[in-house]
Amino acid sequence: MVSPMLLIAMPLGAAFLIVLLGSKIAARIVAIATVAFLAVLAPFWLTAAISEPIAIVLADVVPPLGIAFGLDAVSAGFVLLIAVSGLLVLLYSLPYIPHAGEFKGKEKAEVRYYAIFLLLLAGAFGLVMTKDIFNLFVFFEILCISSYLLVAYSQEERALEASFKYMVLGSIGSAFMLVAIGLSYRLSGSLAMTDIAKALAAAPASYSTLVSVLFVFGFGIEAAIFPLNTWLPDAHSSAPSSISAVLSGFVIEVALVVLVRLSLNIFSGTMLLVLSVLALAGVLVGEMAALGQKELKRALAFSSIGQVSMMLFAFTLGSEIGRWAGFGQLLMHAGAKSALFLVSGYFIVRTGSHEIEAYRGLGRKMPAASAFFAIAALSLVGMPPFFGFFTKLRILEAAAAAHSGIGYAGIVVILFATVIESIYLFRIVRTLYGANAEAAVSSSAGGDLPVFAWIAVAGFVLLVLVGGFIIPSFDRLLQPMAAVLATI
Amino acid sequence: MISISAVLYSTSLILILLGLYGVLTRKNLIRVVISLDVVDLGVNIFLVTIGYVRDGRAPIYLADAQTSLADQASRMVDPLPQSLVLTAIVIGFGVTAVALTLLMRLYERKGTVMVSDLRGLKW
Amino acid sequence: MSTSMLLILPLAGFLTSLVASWIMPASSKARAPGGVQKFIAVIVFSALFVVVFLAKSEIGAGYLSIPMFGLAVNFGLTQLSWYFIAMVAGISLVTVLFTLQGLRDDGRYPFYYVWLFSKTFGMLGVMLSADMLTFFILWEVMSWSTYFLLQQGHEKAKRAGGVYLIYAVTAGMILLAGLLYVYFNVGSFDFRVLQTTFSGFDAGRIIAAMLLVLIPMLIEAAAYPVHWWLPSHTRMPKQAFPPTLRQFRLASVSMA
Repeated sequence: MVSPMLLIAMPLGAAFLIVLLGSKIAARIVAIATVAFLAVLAPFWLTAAISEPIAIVLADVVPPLGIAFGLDAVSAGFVLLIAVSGLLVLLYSLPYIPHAGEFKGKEKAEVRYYAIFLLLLAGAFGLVMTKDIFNLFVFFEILCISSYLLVAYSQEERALEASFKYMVLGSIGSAFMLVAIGLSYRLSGSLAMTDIAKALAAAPASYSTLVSVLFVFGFGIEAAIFPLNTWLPDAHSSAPSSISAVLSGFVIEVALVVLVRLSLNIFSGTMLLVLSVLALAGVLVGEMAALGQKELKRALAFSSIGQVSMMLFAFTLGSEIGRWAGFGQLLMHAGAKSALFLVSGYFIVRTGSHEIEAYRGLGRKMPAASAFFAIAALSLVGMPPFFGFFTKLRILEAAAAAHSGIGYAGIVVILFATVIESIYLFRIVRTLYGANAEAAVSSSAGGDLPVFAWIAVAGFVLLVLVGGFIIPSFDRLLQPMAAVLATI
Repeated sequence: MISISAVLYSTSLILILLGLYGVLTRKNLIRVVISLDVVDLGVNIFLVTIGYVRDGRAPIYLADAQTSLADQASRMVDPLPQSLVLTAIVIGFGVTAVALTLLMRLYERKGTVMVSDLRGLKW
Repeated sequence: MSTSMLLILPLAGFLTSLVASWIMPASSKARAPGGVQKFIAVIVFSALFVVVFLAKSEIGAGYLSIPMFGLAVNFGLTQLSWYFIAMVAGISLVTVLFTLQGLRDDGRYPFYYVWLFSKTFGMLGVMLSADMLTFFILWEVMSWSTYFLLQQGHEKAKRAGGVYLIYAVTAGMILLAGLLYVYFNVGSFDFRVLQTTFSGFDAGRIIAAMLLVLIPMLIEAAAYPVHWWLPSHTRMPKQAFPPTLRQFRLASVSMA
């Protein structure tokens, strides 16, 4: 059994290798080879972890003294998602990155893009595998800092501003999280999450409430919980589209799941209720804001806020079916939103504009891209027979089964949000296939999506298409994840 | 007599609050970055203070046999938060570096680092 | 077997038409569907009509279950649904024959037949569904197929499409709420189970469930005046049928 520590070691090593070698070709090959290797191994880890969690011992130092890593069902599922998403987005980046921004030193910057991308993956992998609260902080910071850098990649003014805003909020969040970690350590005398869970359960209520509030603040900023998500629309819309796909696809979700895991195991029930209410508020605000957007990527970013809030709502219902539903939604959103962002990247490249109106008639010039967009949009809204329908249905089922006021409120909110989503998403689709004005597609750009981009988008769309039907085994994967999420 | 740990905890709290105030109110973005540093400073002091032991010694075992190892251990300051702080300092340094680089690029583009002139991104 | 053919045929038509529309160039400057697509349409719809009569023998017997994401999509043929299906098949065939000449050059609709197939699939599925979940799924398929079909018309039809969409999705969501409500009271999606247990409930719940289910039907019916300016007038009578059909179907199953 290959050690899952490769998940952290390989991307880290590859990142430094890339910077050392300094050549674009080497960067691309090394990056893709690394992630492809990990993506191939991921299903094996997943099957092993579902039957029994894999404990990882580093340098022969056994717990409780050593650094705690472990691969259980939730971690392994995420590893698979992150590895496959990462691979597809890397493929997309091959033709796309040269178009992302105009600045001095663009050639060298591309090498650094691949390196920082690998660092981001290493951070994400570490975050999902860690069982130790300080490790959590360290990998969380690796993830965050990589994403600050990648958001600013194009060095356009809006990207720099967005990245700065993100960074300020992120730093404040980290500071709070560090205080929470300090308090947890003070109480339990250990950094392992299991020990902290026990200690906080026995602690006086005010103490654990303080710790939980600080954690929610810290992680909530990264996980885009309302009202801590003001950085998201700017960051996700100004980042290069490959990075937007990665951020919306798994980065905020990973942070969300870590937060949920802590909440379920360490914090009290009232915190869950507070999170549910915030989640519903997030759904409403996100979707209503998306309705008013004129720029495609901003609309998609607000939509991410809404969708992630739906996931949070499902997770905080407190039941296993709720968690199951949340994971399903997570998987679907990763596929659909990534596809949408990747396609929008090429819309921007081909037309030179971020605005939806500029894409009028693009359905004819870029038929494959538009078709992919339409399919992913249909799934995001929740139209049968796509994946999105089944995940949304399950969330509604879980909400109804909760038999609580918040559950019923959630049903109403989600149904209403679906109507709003369909309005703006279909409006975009309608613009794409609109007939009046012809889109100003630059003749030098080669028409539709380049091959690698096509493959990447098709990969994500495939998930969305077949996720509902042909793979009932998804269910068998998600169910153990749901069960394990309630443990720590 | 106020204990040292109380003084340190209050200091860290004051620093954190000062830093937050700075982030929220300063117009010059470089000052915002400095305020973030102040917040980090406060948090680090807080973390170190967690390991505080009254009349504690440095966490190093001494070879002389006057006191047993267990005895020495019970009087040591907790070293773990100190290692946490080292890591946190490095991370804080990295973030500050990135932030200042961003500001440099912004300055090259716009010639200003005042928030009011940079309101490019709105609702 | 024939029951499954009823679903497979429109699906096959959808796929072949899609491929044909992508590969083959359009027949005229206005990009109306080419000869190949029309040919496919005629063949498939005629075959469909024939199969409907073959399926008559399978009434009550042809139960089909397809597993999907932990749930199952169920289809079955009853006497009542057979009549409706026969009607739909017949009208569809007539419509297609009309459109062979009727599709004018004032719009651009290369994918007309593609969406027509998709919509027929939805309608047949709705009528063949053996439980509420399947019903809802195929209903939604029908909704967005209709939306895309409307996008194939001229400008007025497209605007109508936008309005239609809001109606359709809202109706769909109310229907979903009603569906969940019924599910949580009865414990199953299956129509046959509903039929037996529904009579046991008190009036309040029955009324709530009926409202939640009938309002969407009415919304769909009321949305149809919006279709008076479609490019091909032969589409109108077809549109008027589905909501009334479904109202009958649902009423027949869940007894007022």
